Amino acid sequence: MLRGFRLGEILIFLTGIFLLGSVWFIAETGDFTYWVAAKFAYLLGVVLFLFEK
Amino acid sequence: MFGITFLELVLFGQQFGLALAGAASLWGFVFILKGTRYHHGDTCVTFDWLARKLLYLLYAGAAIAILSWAVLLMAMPAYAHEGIVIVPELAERTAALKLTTPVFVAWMLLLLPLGLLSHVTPAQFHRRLTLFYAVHFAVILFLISIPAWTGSMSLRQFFFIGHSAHSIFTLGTVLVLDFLFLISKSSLHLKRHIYPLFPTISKVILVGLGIDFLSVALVFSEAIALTPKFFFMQTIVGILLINGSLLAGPLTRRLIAAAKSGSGKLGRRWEFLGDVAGTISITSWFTITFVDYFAELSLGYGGLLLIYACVLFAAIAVHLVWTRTHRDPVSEQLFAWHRSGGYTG
Repeated sequence: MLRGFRLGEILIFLTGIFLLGSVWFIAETGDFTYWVAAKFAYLLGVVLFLFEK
Repeated sequence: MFGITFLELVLFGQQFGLALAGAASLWGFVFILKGTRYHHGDTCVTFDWLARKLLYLLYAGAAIAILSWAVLLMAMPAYAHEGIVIVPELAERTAALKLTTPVFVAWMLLLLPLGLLSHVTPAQFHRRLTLFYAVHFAVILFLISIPAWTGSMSLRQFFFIGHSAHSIFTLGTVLVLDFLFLISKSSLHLKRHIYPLFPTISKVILVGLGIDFLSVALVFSEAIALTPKFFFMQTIVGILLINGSLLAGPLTRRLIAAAKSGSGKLGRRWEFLGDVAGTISITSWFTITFVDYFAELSLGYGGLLLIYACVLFAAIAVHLVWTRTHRDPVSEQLFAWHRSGGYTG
């Protein structure tokens, strides 16, 4: 499914799914840990995306 | 209706107009610079032509922003003095309005003669277009960065700056991207010039979202409230990330490859996917910027998601019908511009 994607794009794609999961987790438990992790994973994905040719 | 107040609606109008005008200035400036790098020839004339086309978006955004500001100027004091307790955020918004009003007036006075000059002496105006876009970008960046003024450069103020200014790089740039995509639909020549810019434009959009994430981190405990609006917005951000990675990655690479070789057309499946992904992007950015402006929305998570889905399907349908039936004279306009040698030929 992720064929044709580069590393930064894969990370941003997975972050999107992870963020949706973390929102569900907040709704269930009120815990923001995964949500914050998703945001930092996104920033890492953007940095990778910026430097990929 | 749905907890939406008139003041919030006007504030959104101002933000939308500034984001559009700011992004048009930014990319107009970039295109002019790209054009001047080539001095003469096809590429130079094409980027000059594109930079002039972005003037329409700049004027449209400026008109919406200035109109909203004029309404705020009349409505805000009445709101600020209404009731016994002044909501701090409203006081901060009023302070920001006072701070930005002289700049808004100067901007308005600058726009009118420059608009006339572009029609009376277009060649002279074109020679100063780099400066025109640079000044506009600086002015708009200031205006959009002060949606509220806390009185000092506190963390809260930095949050306001980041949370508002990112719209130039996200919503505004997505609008510019869509505009460029639509005007290049019927011209292979334009596709070959515009599509290679898409990865750079996508990077700016993704960095814009990163700026927003970082600004929220500054006031994390204050900024987060577990409302249906929060869950809805985060769902849309999740959709944006999944869609954005597809749009900025494989889809853009296919577009560039198709433009470089052959007719510039994608296969039916990829063309459909591109149309849908592009519409999801613009609808989602518009939705989160719009919803962000309404503090007391009475709709639940399901209601918000249902409205979003309806708007999205309607937008996809309109986009598909429009792109398959509309043939604009963009190629003819560009060829006429080429024959005349533009303003630099």
